Amino acid sequence: MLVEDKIGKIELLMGNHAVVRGAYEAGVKVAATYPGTPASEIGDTFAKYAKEMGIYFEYSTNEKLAFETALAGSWSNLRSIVSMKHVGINVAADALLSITYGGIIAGMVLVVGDDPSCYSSQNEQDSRYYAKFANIPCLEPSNPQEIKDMTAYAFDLSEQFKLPVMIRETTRTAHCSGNVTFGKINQNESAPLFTRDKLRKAVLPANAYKLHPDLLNRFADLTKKMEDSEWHKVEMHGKIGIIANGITMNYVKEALAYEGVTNISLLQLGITNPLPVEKIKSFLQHCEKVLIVEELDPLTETAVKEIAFNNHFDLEIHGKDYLPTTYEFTTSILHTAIVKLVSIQPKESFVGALIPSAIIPPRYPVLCPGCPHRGTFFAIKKAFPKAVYPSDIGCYTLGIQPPLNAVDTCVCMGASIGIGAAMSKFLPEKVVCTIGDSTFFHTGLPALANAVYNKSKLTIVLVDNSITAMTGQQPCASCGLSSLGESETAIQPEKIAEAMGIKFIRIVNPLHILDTIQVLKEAAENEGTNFIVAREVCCMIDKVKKPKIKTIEENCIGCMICTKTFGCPAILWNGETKKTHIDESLCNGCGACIEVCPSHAFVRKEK
Amino acid sequence: MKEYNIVLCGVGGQGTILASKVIAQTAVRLNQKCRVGETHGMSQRGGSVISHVRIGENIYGALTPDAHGDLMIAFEPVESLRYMNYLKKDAYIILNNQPIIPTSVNSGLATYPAYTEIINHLTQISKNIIDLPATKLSEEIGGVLFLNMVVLGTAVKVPGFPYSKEQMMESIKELVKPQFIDTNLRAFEAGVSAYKIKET
Repeated sequence: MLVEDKIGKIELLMGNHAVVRGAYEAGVKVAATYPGTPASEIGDTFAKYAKEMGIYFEYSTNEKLAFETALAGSWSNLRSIVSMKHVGINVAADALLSITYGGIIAGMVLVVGDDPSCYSSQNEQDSRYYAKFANIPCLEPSNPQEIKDMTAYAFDLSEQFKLPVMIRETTRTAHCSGNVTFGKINQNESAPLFTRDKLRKAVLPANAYKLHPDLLNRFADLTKKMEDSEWHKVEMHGKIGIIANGITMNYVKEALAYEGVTNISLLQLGITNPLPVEKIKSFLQHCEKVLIVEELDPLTETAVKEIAFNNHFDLEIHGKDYLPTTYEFTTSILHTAIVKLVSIQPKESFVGALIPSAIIPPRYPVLCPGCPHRGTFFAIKKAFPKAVYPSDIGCYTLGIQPPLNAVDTCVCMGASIGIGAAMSKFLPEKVVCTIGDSTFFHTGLPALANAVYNKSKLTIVLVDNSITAMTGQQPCASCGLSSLGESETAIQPEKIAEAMGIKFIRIVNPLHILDTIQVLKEAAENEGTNFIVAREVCCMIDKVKKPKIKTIEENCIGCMICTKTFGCPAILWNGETKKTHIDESLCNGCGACIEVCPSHAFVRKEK
Repeated sequence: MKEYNIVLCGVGGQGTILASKVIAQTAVRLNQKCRVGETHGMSQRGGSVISHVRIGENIYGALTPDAHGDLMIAFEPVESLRYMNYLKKDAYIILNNQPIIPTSVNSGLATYPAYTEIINHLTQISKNIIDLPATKLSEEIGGVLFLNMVVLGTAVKVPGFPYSKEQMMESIKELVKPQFIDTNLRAFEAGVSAYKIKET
C-alpha cells in the first residue's frame, strides 16, 4: 500500500508512515534508526518495505551509529534518512555537530521525534536547539500530508546546501493519522560513488578552522533562499497577529474557529531554523500586538523579540507570558490565550466534566503477564533486599512500579552500569543494576569496560529478552535476527564480559525463580564486578503456547505474597474468599508464580 | 460535514487502535477530512489508553478539545471516568461493563469502584449510556480479540454517528486479515443488535 505508484491516491497514514512514503517518493536509498517512541514506526516501516523499495535499511545499535550509517550513505552518493527520538540526538550529536562543517553529498534527512508531555521519555527537551546549534534547517510539519511532502522536499534542500535537514516531529504529529495524497515516486538511480575530498570529509583542526566560515556562509545563503519558502503561510487580516510553528497552528485555527474570530493575522512557520527574518519584519510592522505560539522553549519568541528590538518596532509581543513552557498544547490552552489576547468574552466552553479522581484506581503500565523481567526483579529483591538498584531504559524500567519497587534510578541509555559501578565504590550498600540487551549494546558496552577497568563492586543483571521490546519488538544484536528479520548469529553478552576479564559470570532463566535467587545470592557474596545474564525471550514474541497455570484453592493460605510482591496481572485476589485465582485469559503459562507461592497453590494445567 | 469527535478509551492491548482505524478508514474512503490521535509506547503495557477520531472540515489537530466529544467508546468501565473531561453534555457513551482490575487494586493499594457508582458519575454529564456486555458478546463469538468489533457495531446505531453499518463493514474487510473477516463481522453484527440506551 505504502509503496504503490499511484499519484493522487488518498490513504489514511500515520505521521511516521508518511515520513517513509515521503522518503520513498524522493528516491531514498539508505535508512537507519535506533528505535525510540515516538519515532519507532519510521524504522519499522522501512524494515517492512526495504526489500520492495530496494533500499538498505538497518536497526543500528545506537543513534550515533544510525546517524553515521546515513552519513556514509550520503557520502556514497545515496540519499539517506535517519530517524530517532529526541534524546537519541544527544547520542548522535557528536557526529552531527562536526559534519555540518564539511557537509554532505547526497540528500540526508534527520527525523527527530520530540515528546512534549513526556508520554514515553525521560525528558521534554526541545530538539530545535540542535538545529540552531548545528546550523541545519529545521522543518516543522503540522499534519501527515505535510510530513510526507516536507520529507520528500528535505532531500532536495539538503543537497542544495550540503547540510543534513532536520524534520522535527512531536508525539502528536508522529502518531497522528490523517488523509494523505500520494505523490510521484522519483526513480533515483544514482550509483554508489565515493569522491575523495580530504578538506570536507576529514575535519582535522586545520580543515575545521577553514570550514567554519564556509558553514556560516552556506547557512546565510540558506537563510536568504528560505525567506520565501512555500512552507511559511501568511494570512493578513487584523492588527492582532499570531505566529505559530508546526502543529501549534492547528490549535490556533481551531480555537479561532470555535470562537468565530476572523480578524487575526496568521503566520505559520513551516521552517523554524532559519527563520524568515524579512517576512517576520513585515508581519510585525503590520501588527500592533502579536502572540508567539510554540510548544516547549521560547526559541521563536526570543528571535522575534530580537527582530523587533533591532528594528525599533513598537508593538506588544506575547509568548511564554500567555502560554506554558511545559507539556504539549491543546485547543483549550490556545483558546484561553487567544481570549486574553483579543480581550473578548468567550462564547465556547472548554470546561470538561470534573473527573472523579478519588475513585479511579491508578492503572500504571506494568510488565506483561508472563514477562521474564518480573521474575528477575522478584529474585533481586530476595537476594539483595537492602541494595541500591540503578536501572536503565526499556520495559524493565517498569520494575519501578509497585509491588516490585526494584528500580531506584533511570537516567539515560547505559547509565545503569555507569552510575551503578561508581556508586558501588561510594556507598556502604550493595549495588545491583538492571540493563536490557538492546540497551547493553547501545551504550552499556563502554560502561562495562569502565566498570571493570576502574574496579567496581557492581552486580550487573543483564535482563536479556533478546529483543528491543518496549518500542515494538525490533531485532537487536543479541537476538539472532538481522534488521530485516533474517536468521543471524547472536552476539553473546557473556562472551564480551569474559573478554573484559570479569570472573563471576552466570546465566540464569528468570522464570526459574529459586535458581535465580540462588545465583544472585552467590553474587552478593562476591566482591568484584559480577555479570549475570537473566535470559528468557520476551513473552510477546515467544510463540510457543505453554499450558496455563491454575490455582489449587485449598492450598492457597491467603498470604498474598503473589499479589503483594510479585504482581503478575493474571493473578487476581478475591476479597470475599480471601484466595487468589488465575485469570486464564491473561495467563501465558510462564509458570514463574509456581515457585513464588510458598504453599504450592499454583500448578501447571495438563495439556 | 459537521464536526464529529469520538473518544475511544480502555486498557493497552484491548484493540482501541484498530477500532479507531476502522472509523478513520471509512472517513478517508468517503473523502472526508479526519484525524486520529493514538497512544503508543509505554502506555501500551497494560496502562490506560486513549484514541481520538475526529471528522470534519474545520478540524486540524488530533486531540478532541475538552467538552467537545460527541461519542465515547469505553472498552473498560473505569476508564470512561478517566477521560470524562472530553465529553459534551449529553454525549453518547458506549460502556463495556467488564472491568479489567489494575495491579494497583490487586496489590491492595487502591479499590475498584462499583459499576453503579461509575454509571452515577457518568450520568452527571450524560444519560445517553449504552450499557454493553461487550466482553461477554466477544467471548461468545471467538474471544476478547473481537471486543473492538462489538463496540464498533454498537456505535453505528448511536444517533449522529456519521457512518452506516455497511460503510463500516467495508472498512473492516479492508483492514483485517482475510481469514478473520468473517469472525470480525459476526462480532460487529452482535454489537449492532445489542444497542440499547440504559434506563436511568
